[in-house]
Amino acid sequence: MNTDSQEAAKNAAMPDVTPTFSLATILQFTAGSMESAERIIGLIVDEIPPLLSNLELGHEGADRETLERAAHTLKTHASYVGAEAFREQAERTELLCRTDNTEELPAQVARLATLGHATLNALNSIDWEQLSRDGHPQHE
Amino acid sequence: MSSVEHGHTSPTIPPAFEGVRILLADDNFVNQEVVRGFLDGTSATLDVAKNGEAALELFSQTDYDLILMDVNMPVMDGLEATAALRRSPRGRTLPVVALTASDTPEDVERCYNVGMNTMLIKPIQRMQLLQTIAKQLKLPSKPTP
Repeated sequence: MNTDSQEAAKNAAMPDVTPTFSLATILQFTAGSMESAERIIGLIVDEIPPLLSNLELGHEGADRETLERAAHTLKTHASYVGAEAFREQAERTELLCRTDNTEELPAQVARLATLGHATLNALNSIDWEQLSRDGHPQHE
Repeated sequence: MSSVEHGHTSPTIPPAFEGVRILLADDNFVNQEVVRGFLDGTSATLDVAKNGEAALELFSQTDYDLILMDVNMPVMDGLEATAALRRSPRGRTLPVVALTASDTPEDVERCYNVGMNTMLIKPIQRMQLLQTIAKQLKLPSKPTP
């Protein structure tokens, strides 16, 4: 990330950014199957890092199409796991790309990246074995 | 003109879709997996293409009953692919359901302008997808007893 982006990341410091997600949401898409939920979250966990890289590359190279596409896909992924703050930020970033709003983009891209990493960490921390034993989602 | 379908659906028994062949065009592995899961338990056959160009290639080789078309794809997007379908004799009347995460008036207009039949806004729900397919194929959806 370049100096501007790092500065923007600091400015987008996030007392209001909580890496929440909802297993109940993903279970809506899997008819309650924990096994399917684990598989879909596994796909999302695999896809988020390259998308965050594309976000950064698109931003640094002023490649608006790559940036917009990464934000768009992150928005869908966030929807599936009920990560509402992440989804809203991805939508905001996608819209800024569409409207070519170069003034606000750096801070918003940095905030999206921060939320993406936080959500990724939260998803990686799911203890599937425990969930299978307990039979109930633990995160909301 | 058709409608934009959001999350609300009425309770019905999922249709069986016997003999129904569906093509899903979507570059997103997660969306592919979710749609595949939604169609599990029905008799529909699902093929998957990773972009509009690949969808047109599959369409040229196979008779499909319906296409689920993501709008935002690399190489060839769903709008261009649908426009190409509508120019071909076989694709003129084929039901095409747009799958999109963007439902601004401009997005909706673009989808209908190229000839899509209806739109589902992501993330879609299982019953919503099944009911939309049934409606487009004119198959009965039975209310839950």
